[in-house]
Amino acid sequence: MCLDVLIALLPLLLFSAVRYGMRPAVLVLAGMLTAAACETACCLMMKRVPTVTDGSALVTGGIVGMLVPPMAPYWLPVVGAAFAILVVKMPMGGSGRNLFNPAAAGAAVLTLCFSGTMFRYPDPGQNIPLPLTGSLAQVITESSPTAQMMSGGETLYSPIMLFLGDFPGPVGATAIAVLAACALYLFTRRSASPLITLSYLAACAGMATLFPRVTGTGNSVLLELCSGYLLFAGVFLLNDPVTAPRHWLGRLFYGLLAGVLVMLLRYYGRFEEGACFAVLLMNAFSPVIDRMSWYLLHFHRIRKGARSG
Amino acid sequence: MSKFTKRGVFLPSLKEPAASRPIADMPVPAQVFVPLVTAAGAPCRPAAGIYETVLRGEPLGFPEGDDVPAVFAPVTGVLSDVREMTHPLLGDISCAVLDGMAGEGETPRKRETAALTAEEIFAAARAAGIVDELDGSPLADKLESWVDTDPYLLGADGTEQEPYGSSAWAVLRAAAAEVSEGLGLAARAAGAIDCHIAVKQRGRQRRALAESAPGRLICTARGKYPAVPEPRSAVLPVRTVGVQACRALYRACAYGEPQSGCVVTVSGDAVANPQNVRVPTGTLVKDLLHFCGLSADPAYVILGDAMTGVAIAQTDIAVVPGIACILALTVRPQPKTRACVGCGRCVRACHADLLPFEIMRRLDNMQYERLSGLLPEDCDGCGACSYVCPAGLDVTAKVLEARDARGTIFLKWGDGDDL
Repeated sequence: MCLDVLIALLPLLLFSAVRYGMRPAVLVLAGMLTAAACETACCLMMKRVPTVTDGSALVTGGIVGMLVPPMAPYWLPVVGAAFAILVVKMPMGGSGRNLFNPAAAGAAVLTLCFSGTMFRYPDPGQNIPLPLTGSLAQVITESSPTAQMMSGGETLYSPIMLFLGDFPGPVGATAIAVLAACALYLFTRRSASPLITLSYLAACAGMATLFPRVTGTGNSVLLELCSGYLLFAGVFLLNDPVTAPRHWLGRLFYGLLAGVLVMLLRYYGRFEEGACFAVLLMNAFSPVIDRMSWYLLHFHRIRKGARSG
Repeated sequence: MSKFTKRGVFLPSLKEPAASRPIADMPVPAQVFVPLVTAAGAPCRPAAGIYETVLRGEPLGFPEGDDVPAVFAPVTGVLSDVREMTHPLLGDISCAVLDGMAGEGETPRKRETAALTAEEIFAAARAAGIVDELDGSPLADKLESWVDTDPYLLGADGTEQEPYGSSAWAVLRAAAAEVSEGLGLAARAAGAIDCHIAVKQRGRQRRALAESAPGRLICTARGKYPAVPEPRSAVLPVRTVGVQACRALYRACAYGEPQSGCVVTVSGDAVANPQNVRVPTGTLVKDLLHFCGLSADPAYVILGDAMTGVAIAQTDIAVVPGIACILALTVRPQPKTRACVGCGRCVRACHADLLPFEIMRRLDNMQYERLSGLLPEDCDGCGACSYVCPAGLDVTAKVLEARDARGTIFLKWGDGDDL
């Protein structure tokens, strides 16, 4: 299951490497190695058999690496992955027992603590490749579509540019076409639930249609869905098998609520992208949603059982 | 709801070559161990003294304080001993040991079954000690409990959705007319609106069955395991009985013949000759495996089929009606089990729409008081959740534990500790 996600992350990384050079690959690798090292250290400290082989730590570190901007300093994914494993995952009991998606928590911490670095994106057209070492001062930066929409300015990206990922954004979240292919792969491997992703996207699209904040000629729905890491969150963060609901009705609610929450965070939040906060909030409600939707469907049977027994 | 959301798992079919071979007759074994219990499980006293010869079909055991025989000799033989044994399905029982020998009982005469009343049919089923192989319960009690309930359809379940079993199909192929007659009798006695035979075969095989069982609706269960054996147009609920039980009911009504054996699929990769064998009740599993031949030393012998069967440690266990399949398997590499991460694949697979992982988690965390709200009693032990679990956990066993323990699991740490 984790292997499927790692396989799905690979084309995104390749796409980013073609666009920005080897720097994204080093960022993702740094995240993965940190996560794996932290998990091993924790397991050794707790005198447990190391659980790195199940791949969940690599996925966490990889996703954190995917969510930082391509010109981020190398310590950024390291900090995020270390927080994800050391604070969010292992104290809860490790693989399968974490309440919150560790990768989303890592990204959230980076957003809160280093928001300046987290949202400084290089212009994809002009910096090929990004320098691996040394100063990044001369890199031309560009405000992302989400930032443009947030400031109320006119957005300059056509649908085809969005679809091909030709806009500033995080390492692995801009390649919309590749992301769609990855999502299809994960659906067919049953590692992700189309119910969650599609209901989430439907809710986002609905919000974007009802309350458009795009001025000028831009297509509100397309811009909102493709910019930032909204789609990436819908495919990789929301579908974490540990924290997502398991029942189909619960998954539907979960996706819908997450979509509404993401858009609310975009409209009223402090940051231009709040998908990781939305995922964390939904994680907190996930067990309740799961249980309530199940009880909703089996209300009659449970009542009958209570009366007769 | 479960009718609309098609849940379950796809299973491989490993029925060949047993399914296409004719039913083999097991020669009379040197010894059979006939359990001295009624179909309902009550203990019996032996009807003959030690070293007396009992003919096939003659009474072998009477229930305590009753003069109607409940156990019949499956083979002609000499009663040499009465022995206490432990049986995985029946518990601690006493068995009559018959030293088998050649020789037949008297050939019964055929009676007319068309005029039998419901009471007569129930009485015949009881007298013959018929056990339904689907759930191992007495057929007469099962049918009688359905009289005067809401309208329903009665199906003879020959779908055999599990990977290996093909005994019901073998019986249908050999004696479809008798099964059809027996099903008709059962439906008449139990007041079913209509009855049908459910199979998994299609095409030519199904047409052949329809020809040999004229006037019966043959329906095909398809798709995922476990599928419901019902006609596609069914509006009423369907209740099922076993194919072999139907045949036994017909034989009991028409010939007064007791259920003296069953057809068992012997299969698995350690078996040299996988086939369906007609076995006298009380034959030991090891004799049966010896008859079919073992090509390798089996690591597991499983009583039942691959999804719902139980592994047995020793093979001197009597085969009784209710066992439709015996597997002998060589060792396979077992995947390493991991902790449950709650991925929810078991929820997807569960056709009863339960939350198996949640039941398992609450059982493991000893939150017993919160188990009943999860309806573990709806589990029928189909095994689909264990089959799909990516962590290789035996989810079914846990859910069944929760189901079977219903009231009694409320013992917690400190309770009842008088020391």
